[in-house]
Amino acid sequence: MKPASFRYFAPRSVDDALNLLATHGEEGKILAGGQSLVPAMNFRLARPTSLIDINRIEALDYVREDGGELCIGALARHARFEAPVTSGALAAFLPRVARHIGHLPIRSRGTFCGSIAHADPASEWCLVAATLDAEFVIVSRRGQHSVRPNEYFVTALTTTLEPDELLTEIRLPLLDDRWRTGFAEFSRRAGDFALAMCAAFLRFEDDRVVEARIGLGGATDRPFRVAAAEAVLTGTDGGPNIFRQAGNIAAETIDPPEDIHASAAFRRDLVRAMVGRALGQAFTR
Amino acid sequence: MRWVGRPLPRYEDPVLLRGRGRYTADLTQGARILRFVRSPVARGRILAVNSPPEMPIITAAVLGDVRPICPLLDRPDYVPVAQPLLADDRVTYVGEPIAAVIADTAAEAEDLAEEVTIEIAAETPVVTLDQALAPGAPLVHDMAAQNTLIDARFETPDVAAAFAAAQQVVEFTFTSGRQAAVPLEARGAVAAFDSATGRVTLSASTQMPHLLRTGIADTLRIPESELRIIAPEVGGGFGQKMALIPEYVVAVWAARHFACTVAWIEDRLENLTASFHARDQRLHLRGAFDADGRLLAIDADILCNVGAYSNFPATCGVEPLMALADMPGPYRVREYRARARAVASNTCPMAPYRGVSRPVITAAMERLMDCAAARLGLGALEIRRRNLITEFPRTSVTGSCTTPAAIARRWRLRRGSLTSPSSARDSKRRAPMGAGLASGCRCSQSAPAPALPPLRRGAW
Repeated sequence: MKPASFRYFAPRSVDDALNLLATHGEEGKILAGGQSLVPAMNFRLARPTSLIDINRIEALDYVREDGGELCIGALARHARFEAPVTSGALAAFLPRVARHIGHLPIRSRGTFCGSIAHADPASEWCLVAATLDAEFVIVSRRGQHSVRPNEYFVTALTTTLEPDELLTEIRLPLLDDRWRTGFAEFSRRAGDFALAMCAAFLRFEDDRVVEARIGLGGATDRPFRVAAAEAVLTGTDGGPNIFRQAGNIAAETIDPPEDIHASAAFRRDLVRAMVGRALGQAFTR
Repeated sequence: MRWVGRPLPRYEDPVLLRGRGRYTADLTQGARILRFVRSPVARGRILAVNSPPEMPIITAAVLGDVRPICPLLDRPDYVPVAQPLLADDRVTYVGEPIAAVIADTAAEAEDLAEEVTIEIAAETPVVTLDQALAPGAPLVHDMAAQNTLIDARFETPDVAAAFAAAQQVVEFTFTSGRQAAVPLEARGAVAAFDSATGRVTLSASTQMPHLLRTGIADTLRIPESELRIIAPEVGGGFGQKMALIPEYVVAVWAARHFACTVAWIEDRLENLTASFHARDQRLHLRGAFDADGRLLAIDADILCNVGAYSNFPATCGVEPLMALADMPGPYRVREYRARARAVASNTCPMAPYRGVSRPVITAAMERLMDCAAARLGLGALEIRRRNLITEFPRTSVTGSCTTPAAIARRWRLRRGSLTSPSSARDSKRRAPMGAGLASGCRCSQSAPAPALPPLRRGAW
């Protein structure tokens, strides 16, 4: 479990990193937290010939509010989100999610943007970003542009990020206090990969749901929103029947894989339960 | 003066608590690193082992005149099987070592190991008990018909009569999933060659330094005096480090052959893939009870999937024979019939793992009691009260002796204090609450059992 040999670069500015990416990007890899990349290298499943370590680029280490959005820089670690980083509905929601990410050493080192770049189907942050339709800021020597989750996540561990591009920032929309949130995840062991998870965001007016965002992760190759479940919730004031109905719709929507960890039927059942639990939280707080 | 319960400062604690313990991997300074090339398939014929011509590589052919690991057991139904140090013509489980390379660092050793390519004509493996016992199943070892390495039987005279007289017969199959010990410190060995004396000092993560020396010396055909074993701090063993493994033998061989210090530090991936496993068992249990809930007889069919080889010194009999001998546990069992088989398969070999078969047979016997209690309308406590041994000393049908010390604490539970999970549901909490009851018996001292003269029980 020692990695194959590689060249190591430690740029101190984004420009230097982009130059290195332009030169070595095809067979290179960005190292941020390294909590997925380094184990994969130790297993020799990943064999980047060049490693571009961005940990010394201080300009990427931030979480700040800007123009109604929460801007998360490429070096913001998971652990930063265990305490509230913003106000409004995300204040309590993000710590609730962060608790589910791996274990303390992983959260202390791994980064929000790294999770998005890695695009593991069981990633909590990928689910949150997809459900909130976050903006992904991508730069390269060719320039800067932004993409949305639906044009970014391709399948498990695969995104539209090009080899010379660096994901520098994620922008989550800030949610005011009219939003209520819920998050539920199932894994066999605490800190393990999620077999199924659900993020729910509901905006209320006069105790009725006027906008709903229901996202699923873990049970399929990439996170996605369930429009039909969102539709049945809109206009309602909650209750177990509507939770169950939304859960059933979500379970029928997905085409879960079958593997050593869970059968397709079990995953479907987990999705049903996770949707119900996430909605239960959202309606009670 | 009372010694029981008195806190005694432990000799090793100052070192361990300050993080100054020396584990095997701490002793590798100056050592060359050994790396094994392992089988990627569970069963097949090795066609070729290819490596760059200038690269030194250790294979079965290079090892030459060494003995395989072939533990013996004094039983007529035991089929001894020989485990080569490095697979020669066949591979029998995923992770079986086929070749070894040596380099100055672990990373370089892994690079070299990647240069070795193995050509194997893969065959369909037998993995499960059902596959191994199916008529016409491929044989893991040609000499072991039906893949059976041990077929032990025991029967008291009146089992059939007891079942005929029974009010209730409870019957079920109990399956135990395969388990791995997963010590925090994986296995490791540092073999240091002394050029002055020609002797080797092996520091190894082991639970049995003396038998390790015996086993390695026997395998390499050298006197035991040529070998010194040191067991430094061991970061968990749980039985996995209580058996002879080819990797330690090859490390000693390499130290002698290359006249240098050779280290093999197992990584986690190797440990999970290729170390000893345990408790892959299926028990079919029948229990005969009279109208008062008294257990009249047990009929047990015990199947243990013991993997590809038989470990030294415990042998592949350790699980099936313990299950057979200790099944009655703390209960008065009057009549007992059992068949216990060790079944070979193309999986990791089995070794003793904490308690060996006891967790499995205890869980099965307790299920037997609970099923019978439900059928007879008795409480969980009551059926055990009626069947637990109360006269001491008592010698079981298989020859185990239970003394008063074994059941030293009286039952403190009052009748009715055990409730079923559903009835105890706490209205304020969503989780069902309940209480369970189980009793078990651990054999604390082993001695030849008169009722089963050929059944040799180990010292664990």
